Amino acid sequence: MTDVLNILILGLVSASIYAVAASGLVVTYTTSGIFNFAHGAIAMFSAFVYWQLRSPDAWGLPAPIALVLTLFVFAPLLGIFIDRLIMRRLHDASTITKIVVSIGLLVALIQLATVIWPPDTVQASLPLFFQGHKVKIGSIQVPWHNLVVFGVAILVAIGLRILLYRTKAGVAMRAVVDNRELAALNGANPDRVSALSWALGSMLAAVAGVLIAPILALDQVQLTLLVINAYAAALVGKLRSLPLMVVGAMILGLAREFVGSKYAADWPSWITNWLTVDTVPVIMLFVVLLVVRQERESLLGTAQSRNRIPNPTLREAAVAAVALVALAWIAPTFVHGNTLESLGYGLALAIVMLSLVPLIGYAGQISLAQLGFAGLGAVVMFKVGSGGSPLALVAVVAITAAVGALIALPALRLKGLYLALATMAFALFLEKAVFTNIDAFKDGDAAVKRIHVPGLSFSSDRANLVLMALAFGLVGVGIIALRRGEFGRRLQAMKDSPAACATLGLDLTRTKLEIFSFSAAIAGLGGALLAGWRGKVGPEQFSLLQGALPGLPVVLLAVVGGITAVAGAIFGGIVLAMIPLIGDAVPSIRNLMTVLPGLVGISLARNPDGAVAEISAKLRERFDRTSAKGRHSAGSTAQDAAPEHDGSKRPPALIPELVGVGGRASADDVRALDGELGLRVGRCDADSGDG
Amino acid sequence: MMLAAACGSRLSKDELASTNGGGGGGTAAAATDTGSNAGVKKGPGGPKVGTLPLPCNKAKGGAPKAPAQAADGVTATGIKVAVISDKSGQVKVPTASVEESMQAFVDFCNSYGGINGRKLQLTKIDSKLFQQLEATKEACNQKVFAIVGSGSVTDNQGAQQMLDCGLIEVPAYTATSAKALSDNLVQPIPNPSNHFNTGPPKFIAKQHPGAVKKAALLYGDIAVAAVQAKRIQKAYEKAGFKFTYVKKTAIIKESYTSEVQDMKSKGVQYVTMVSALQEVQKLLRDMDTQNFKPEVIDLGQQYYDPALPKSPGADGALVQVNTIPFEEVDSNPALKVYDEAYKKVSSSIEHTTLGVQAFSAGLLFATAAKAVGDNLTRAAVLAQLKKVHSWDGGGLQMKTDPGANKVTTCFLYMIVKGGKFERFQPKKANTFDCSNEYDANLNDDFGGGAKLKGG
Repeated sequence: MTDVLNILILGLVSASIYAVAASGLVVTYTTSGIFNFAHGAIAMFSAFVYWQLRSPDAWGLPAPIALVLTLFVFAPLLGIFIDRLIMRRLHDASTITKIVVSIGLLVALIQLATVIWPPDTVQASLPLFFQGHKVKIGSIQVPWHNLVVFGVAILVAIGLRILLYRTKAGVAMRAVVDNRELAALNGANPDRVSALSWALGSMLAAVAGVLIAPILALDQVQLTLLVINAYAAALVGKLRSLPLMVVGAMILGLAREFVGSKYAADWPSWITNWLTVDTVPVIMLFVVLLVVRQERESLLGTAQSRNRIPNPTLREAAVAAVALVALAWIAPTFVHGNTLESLGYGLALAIVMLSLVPLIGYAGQISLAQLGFAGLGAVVMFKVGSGGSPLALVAVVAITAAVGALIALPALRLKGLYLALATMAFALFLEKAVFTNIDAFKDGDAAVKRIHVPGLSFSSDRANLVLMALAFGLVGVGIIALRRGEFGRRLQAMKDSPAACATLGLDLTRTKLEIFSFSAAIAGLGGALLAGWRGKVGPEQFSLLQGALPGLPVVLLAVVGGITAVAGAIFGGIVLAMIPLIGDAVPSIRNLMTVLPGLVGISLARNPDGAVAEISAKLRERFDRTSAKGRHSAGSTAQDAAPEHDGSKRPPALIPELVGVGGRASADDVRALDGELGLRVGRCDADSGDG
Repeated sequence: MMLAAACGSRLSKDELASTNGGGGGGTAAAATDTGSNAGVKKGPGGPKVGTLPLPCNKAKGGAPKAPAQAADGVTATGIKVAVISDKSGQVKVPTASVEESMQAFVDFCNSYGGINGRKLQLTKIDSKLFQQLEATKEACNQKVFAIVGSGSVTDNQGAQQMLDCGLIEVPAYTATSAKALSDNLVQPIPNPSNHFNTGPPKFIAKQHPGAVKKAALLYGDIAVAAVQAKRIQKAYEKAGFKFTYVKKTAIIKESYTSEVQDMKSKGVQYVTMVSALQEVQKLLRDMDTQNFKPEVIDLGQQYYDPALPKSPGADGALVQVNTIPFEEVDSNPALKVYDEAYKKVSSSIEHTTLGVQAFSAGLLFATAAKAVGDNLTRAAVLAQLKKVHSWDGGGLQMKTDPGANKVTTCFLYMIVKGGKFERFQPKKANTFDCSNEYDANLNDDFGGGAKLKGG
């Protein structure tokens, strides 16, 4: 009996930690419509700021002053800064852009904290508040600090409830999320309200950081991860209800305590292999996402992607693919050692990123699990083809495709953010419960030989590079062909309007399963090839947040490269693999290089089409200017002035391929249209801030 | 420790120690080639590092000759070596000062003229926690003569690679079986995974015969910790322990209270843990909060860290150390040499006991290379290394048999007292408790070492 009581008490103590961590998530989402992946990173950063102010090893201010400065000066300012610089641009952005920008912020803050407080020279730790004081509850001694956390959790929940539902400012915050224009018409200032909500969210993150860091440890990773565990609690309240969030935190706290207790010690190993304290939050997140009904806004009210979808001809694609293979052939002549190593790594990653193009770019389905699928591909390769058998690749593709479909099945009714979180939960499950149970692989020691066909070996660096380029080229051309075919149109239609598709008799379930399968298979292929290139693999190559290659930046850079473009995947893969090398080569910018992936993610707020689109648009512009000049002097005809693949010169919004997907015109199109028709169209210009 | 997103590592690769001639770097003493380390004592048999004859000197009778056969990484004037280690990315790692310590050794050795007049050129490579394979390939590509003073958590990854490109290695320490039992590798403190040093458990069993029958072992849920925990359990049971509580825990936990409650209810009197330092600190804190005071808290050498004594609940904990503790720097000439050399390289990164092992590895390599003479080849140096059967780095570390890769049979316990480490066993400064009876054969396979192809 006392054991059960202990579990209850300990569960509640840990629930209060999750409640504090999740409250800020709920507030930010309720008041800004953005799920802030960077919430934990803000908490971590604020805790470091508090340490800097408070610690006798640093500036040594008295605790009350340090607290006031952290919670009421630094954190709100950081929130306002984030709002001004980044989030304000996002209110009508697509879900994927919102997700990627806040992931970018997360990555950047972690790296920035590492640069400012390097773990090898700064010994940062925070003592508990009221160190040494404790009370006995049942048979357990509870430190005062935990009681404070408990009290704060309750106070914050009640206080926020009052703020959001009983005060004018709170109502205005919610109103702006529901309908920005309407709120503005009724006298609310959306910009000011948005700044206020980010200041508040950031303050709550700081409260969580300052309270949890002493319990957990003050470092760059632990707090960030803890807040990810708290996602499940926040989702119980559909990211909006604080009381339900508290219930969620209690379920989470109790479940973790129970699984870690001696009651679970006797469970058979086939259960304890995957049901652990570490996997409970992930499993709970997945289940909660499936059980709670997705809120209306995220199903209907999300802005459609503004992304342009480039649509090269098959011939162009084939030429590009051949060029890529040729480059891969030549590359080893010019680059060696580490650079070559990274180049191959980047190429394998590019294949993984390529899997996102049809999935996110064409079909509008978000997945954060692609690197997990790649890991699965590597595992299959290791299990059935570690000798380099090409037949194993068939198994890789078949198995990852099947698992992809299996995961899509429960996720069928999810969209947008919920889908992103569900796939993230799956990726974390793979990482914590599947990869850890595979011998040799779990030690990072799964040896995989490069592909070997009788009479044809791809074991040399050059041959393997060519093989990967070939794989990328074939898959890339295949994707472009698919985009132009019946399946591509079905995907496009599904992305534009699932409801309309269903009305027209399109089988959405089948389409979704097919695209998830297809995409998972590509990712699996990439993972298997990566395994061959590196020679040895383990969970570290395929994990989401920790490890050699954190998966979140993979999604981030794929999207930054341009999620609708096959070329964007190459860009993302190579950049991700090469960035650390630049830092190695030029030590003075090493710190900048570590923060860079995060910063480019954030920059997406400005340019949602991705880097490749931006670069090619600029190149075209320049090319057109020079060629137009040339034509002008040569006395060209009007027909010449409309080149085949020119986005910038075309009449806006008339050629379907160039219209923002979903029927909405891109901002440029709208502005151009405004000019022609003398109208002010849409809200894009009303308040987007960059108009 | 395994929680790093290692892309943030502050690595410095390709940075050759430019002490060889006109590079411009290096320490001030490098210009004179006579050395100025205050710890080096001149004796009748020449200058010494502690009790070890200084293995670094100018060439006798003019410049050294080029080796008879062209060997990778060796010229008439230089020897290229690489140090591979995990630098701190987003988490503090126990190998934090390994690279700096190796740099300290290279600067120190070069200031006395290098090895037989050949200056050491150091290539520093960061294995970023999970990229030891890439790091090893880089060492191969750089065509270094040997890897010296290295230490990485995931050193199994590149173990085979090191052999495949024909390198030899004298690491500071090894973490996995693949490396610890690898061919062409000799280390100052051998740690073959099929044997175990039972000095510590035997000592504790003698002191606390009752407590060791109620022992608890906790370990973090990662492969490296699980293997180490299994070895500990097996070896300690041979020494008379009975583990009544063995618990695999999450790698990061916010509280160990439920574990503490379980241990309390089982009457546990001995606690040991294999996990990251921060997790051990949390366990000690929660034991303290719950007023759980077992007779013995026994911790491995990775917890000999200045942060440990300051954390709540650490008082009375025993911590093993393989090198002479920094508390005794004033009475240990060899440690003084290290200390002075290290301070010239880094003032911001705190030195660690693994750093001392890196310095010891440097001395070991230099001693073997010096014995080979002018005609330096990897095979010759390896043969010399294998002949070293008694080594203590001039007094830096416990006595070992690197040549035979025999498990260490010495130990030293520190105890946490009043926020500081104090020597606990043996009592006499600069000594270790040694006995051949401490060698326990585990008769078990914890994974074989990397093997030469065709060997």
